[in-house]
Amino acid sequence: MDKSIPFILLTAILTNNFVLVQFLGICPFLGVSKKIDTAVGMSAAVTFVMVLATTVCYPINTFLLVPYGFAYLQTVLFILVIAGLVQLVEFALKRFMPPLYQALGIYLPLITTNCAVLGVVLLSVKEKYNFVQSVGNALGAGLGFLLAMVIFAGVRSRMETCDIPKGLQGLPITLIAASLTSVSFLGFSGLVQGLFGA
Amino acid sequence: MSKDSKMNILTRGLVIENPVLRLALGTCPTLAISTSLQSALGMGLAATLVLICSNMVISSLRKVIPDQVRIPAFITIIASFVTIIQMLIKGFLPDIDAQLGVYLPLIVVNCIILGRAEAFASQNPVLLSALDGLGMGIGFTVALSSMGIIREFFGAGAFFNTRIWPESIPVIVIFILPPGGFFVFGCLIAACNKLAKRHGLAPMTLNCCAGCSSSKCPSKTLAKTAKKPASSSKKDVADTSSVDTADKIKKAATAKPAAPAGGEAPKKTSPEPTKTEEKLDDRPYADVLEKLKEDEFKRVNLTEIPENPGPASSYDSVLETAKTRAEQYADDRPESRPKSYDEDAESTETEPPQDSPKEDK
Repeated sequence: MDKSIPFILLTAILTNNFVLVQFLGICPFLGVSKKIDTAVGMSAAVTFVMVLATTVCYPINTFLLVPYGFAYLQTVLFILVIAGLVQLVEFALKRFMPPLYQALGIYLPLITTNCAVLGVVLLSVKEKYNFVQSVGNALGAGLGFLLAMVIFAGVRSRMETCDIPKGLQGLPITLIAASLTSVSFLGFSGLVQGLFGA
Repeated sequence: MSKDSKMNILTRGLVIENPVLRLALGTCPTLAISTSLQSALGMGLAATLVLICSNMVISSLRKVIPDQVRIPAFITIIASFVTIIQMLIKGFLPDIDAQLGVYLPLIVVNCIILGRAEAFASQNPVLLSALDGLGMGIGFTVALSSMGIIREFFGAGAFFNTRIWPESIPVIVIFILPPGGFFVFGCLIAACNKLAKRHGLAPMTLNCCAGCSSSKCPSKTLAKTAKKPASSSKKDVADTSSVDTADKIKKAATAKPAAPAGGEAPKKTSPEPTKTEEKLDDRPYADVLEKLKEDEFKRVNLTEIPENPGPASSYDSVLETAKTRAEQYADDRPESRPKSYDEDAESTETEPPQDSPKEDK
């Protein structure tokens, strides 16, 4: 069951897109995707934290938790690592790259409670990927997040000039637009299997 | 908050402050798990248990936890309870565990639990926090179950795993798939907004992504508006991350961003929205209106903006001015055109884009 990296990447980006198919990271998806530049900024931050969290959590899980029978501590440890990482990244950005911090700074605290980050780590553990596969999965998840956010930001910016019925204004029409975007991603089902013959 | 009766705290989470449908918390599991009633009930049960337990523990420790390590401490407590519940469910209800999958440990980052811990449990005694947790958990379960019933009915033709639709009628599978989740959720929120409007409450807006520790968490603001009427509006986080069109309209309308009402504007669930806020809420596209106004100017080929365009938000008066000008210059006689018009007509070949299919020189 050794999945190749392109297989994992394509699965995470297209077929099992983390936002539109697996419903992880809905809050920022609905809240931040009003404009394309904020969407890109948030996705970049999320991708970065995802990859970083996976690189830190995978060794902890493989070498510390599982061999000594502490697998049940995965949830606690992962979320604490993620929270600590986000704090660290925020601090490092503020210190060493202030313009980037200014651009991304408001999104960083949101990432702690983002389902997608913890979700990608837990899914890598569940699928029993090795290190490279886990990082590939995290990268693919982040890129899929970026893709979904940018597409949806485009959809929403088009929607702003539309005449929306009174009862559907605000969140309902956003969700219905998200459902149609998700339908478009249904078209990718079977793509990765067909490409890789798996 | 002690003036709220226990019954009030318990029932508040059911309808008025339903975490999913009114406060927009916990949208991830709502969309993912509500494919069938059984999984919805299972998720609701797990989340309620975690909510009650963590609320009680956090409330009993609220005077001990220092303020700086508040959030990590809450997360640790919540994660411990999630682990306990996860192991219990794995042991006693393995079917539900299989259905919930990765969403069971993801209860840790469920905004409902962290939000209520931050907003309520850290400031109230144990019994009230437990009741609040119970109410919110039941509200979450109710919302999830209603979505589950709808999706299962249309998507599998079943109710609680027993098929209701006759075999001859094909089911609408998309309701079980992810797009159906978004769609049903959107329709449900539209229905709830309509109900809320009828009862005089404000419609729901998604403020959740400002982070559970910021001042914008709606579960916190509701607690705050009940507790401290003169809330200190923290202008810390820039509003670009939240869906605060009211703020943009305020900035466009008035040149005073530091109005005290500006801090209240993001909290759309405040009990008394002012008249200006309600009026502005009807027109959420202020920046689009600005652009249309500019386009209108260009379309009637005004060389200068009229002296008193009026406040920026009154597009109507600007449109009036533009219309009268357009009428003045509508006929083609050279005498009626301003001088610059003739110069333009002589210098350029192309004719200005006009809607009227009149002349063609």
